[in-house]
Amino acid sequence: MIKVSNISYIINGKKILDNISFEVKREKSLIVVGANGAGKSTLLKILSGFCRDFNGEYLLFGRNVKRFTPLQLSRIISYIPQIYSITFEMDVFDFLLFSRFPHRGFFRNYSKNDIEKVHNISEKLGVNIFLKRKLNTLSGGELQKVMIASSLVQESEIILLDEPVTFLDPSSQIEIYNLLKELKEGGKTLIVVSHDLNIFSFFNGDVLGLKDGKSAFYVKKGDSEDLKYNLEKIFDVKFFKIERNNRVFFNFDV
Amino acid sequence: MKKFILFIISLSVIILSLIYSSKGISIPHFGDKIFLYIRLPRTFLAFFIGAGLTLCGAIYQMIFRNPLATPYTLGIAQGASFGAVLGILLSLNNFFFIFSGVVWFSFLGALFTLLLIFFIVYLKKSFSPYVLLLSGVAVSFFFSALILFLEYLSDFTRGFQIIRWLMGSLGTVGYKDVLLIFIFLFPISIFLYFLSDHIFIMTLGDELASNRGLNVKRIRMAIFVITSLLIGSFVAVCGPIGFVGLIVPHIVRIIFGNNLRKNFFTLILFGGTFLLLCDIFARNIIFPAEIPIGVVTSLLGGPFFLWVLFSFKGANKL
Repeated sequence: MIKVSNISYIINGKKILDNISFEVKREKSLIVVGANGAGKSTLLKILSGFCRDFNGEYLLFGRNVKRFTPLQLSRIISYIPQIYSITFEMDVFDFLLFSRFPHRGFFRNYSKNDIEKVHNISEKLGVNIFLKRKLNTLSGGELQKVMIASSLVQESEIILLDEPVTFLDPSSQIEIYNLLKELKEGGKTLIVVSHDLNIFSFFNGDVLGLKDGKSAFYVKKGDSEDLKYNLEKIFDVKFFKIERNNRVFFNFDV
Repeated sequence: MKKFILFIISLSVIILSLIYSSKGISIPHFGDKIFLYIRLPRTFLAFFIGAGLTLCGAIYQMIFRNPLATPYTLGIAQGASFGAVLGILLSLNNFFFIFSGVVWFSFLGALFTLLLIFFIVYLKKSFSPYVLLLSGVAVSFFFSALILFLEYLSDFTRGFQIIRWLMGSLGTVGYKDVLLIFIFLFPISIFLYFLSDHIFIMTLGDELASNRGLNVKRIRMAIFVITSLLIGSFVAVCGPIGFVGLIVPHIVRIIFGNNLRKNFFTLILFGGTFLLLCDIFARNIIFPAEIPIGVVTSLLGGPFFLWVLFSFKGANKL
């Protein structure tokens, strides 16, 4: 579904990404980890089709991504950026409705079906209580839920998330992780960028590690020993591992 | 409900503008030349210009994600003013092909500025709002300096004429100015109406807008070009009338919310009514003299904006 080979990205002579290759199959997920500045967010921007001046090949359903228009891409991929970058005031309802934009004709207004969809999904995710509020008045957890709702309204197969739980309190983190799990079970393909260690315990998937723009490791789903070894290598921190309820938690000691 | 009240108010202001004169209220009779060739076209002109400036101001504030953006931010108005000042200095008050040389020079100045900004953007190879905004500001300061220089070089009468021109004026005789503005305003506002959702989505930032399926660069470019033509025509006919494009969009946003598609006609109605009301004051308050319209818009609009800011509920989250 997504096949990336030898992607490099250079800004002002500095290599942000260097020769990254990986593949994500349909309904599988990928977690991208790495220290701050490792190029994770840039990778996500390239995957979303926003940055197009990269070197290398990025095939989406076997077709070069540069040959998709933004409109075609938006029907396949939805991208959720880091939430603190949203500052403009806009009604939550309008924001969710705009996710139907890719499915709307140029001269048409939104149909009844579009509006219904917004209401259904916001009810399902519990964001219907703040449909009338403005985006910039929401808390971090609420905003993240609205963002996830918007990607559901957009009905794209692939969802890209940039640091979905950073800056959230534990209860919001749990809510978001549960939502992501539901999305995955619902057949979406997720690519999540995160340096939150809990992600490996709540969320199963292959893990790609980035260090200084280079691909440091690729660990298949479930191989926790290998993951621990590699995580220690890229973060340069000793981790300890706790196994509980058949799940593996990582943490570090100061 | 709010929109209905606005509609009633603007209807009454239009009627007031048509029937009110220094001699008091008089019902115009057919064949009244002052009514037909001066007051009626002037009412149209004020309404169109106010509507267009407000619309462009709101759109610029959205696509540049900057509450201080105005229709004149990109330097189009300064370029057009420079053209007009050059025209005044060269005494091009004669009419070439319907309009006076000053109007033509002004419009050419606007087109030249548009090309200049395109050239800068092309050199920089970036079409981000910041590049556009900053190069616009640089260009507008450049032209302002040139205008000051020309003013300094000019003799007393021309200098006075230049200053009066730069204050803006809605004085018009007959319908050619109105027609010119209408020819630009009507198709462009229809086009902008169909782009209104695109523009509103672009306030979310380029990444999110692009992920909603917008070709962000192309839309920004299209909007930039067509609004520049509109603003160029406004400045060519009426001079740079300030304040309307900056504050009226904010007033509309505070009272009616910021959904561009829903408030499109509200912006037009509010902007047109506002400038019309200002014009009624400008031409009647110290009759027989006329206060320049640019002075009135700021004098009336400033306190009005503060009143809206303090008395409407949604305003505290500005």
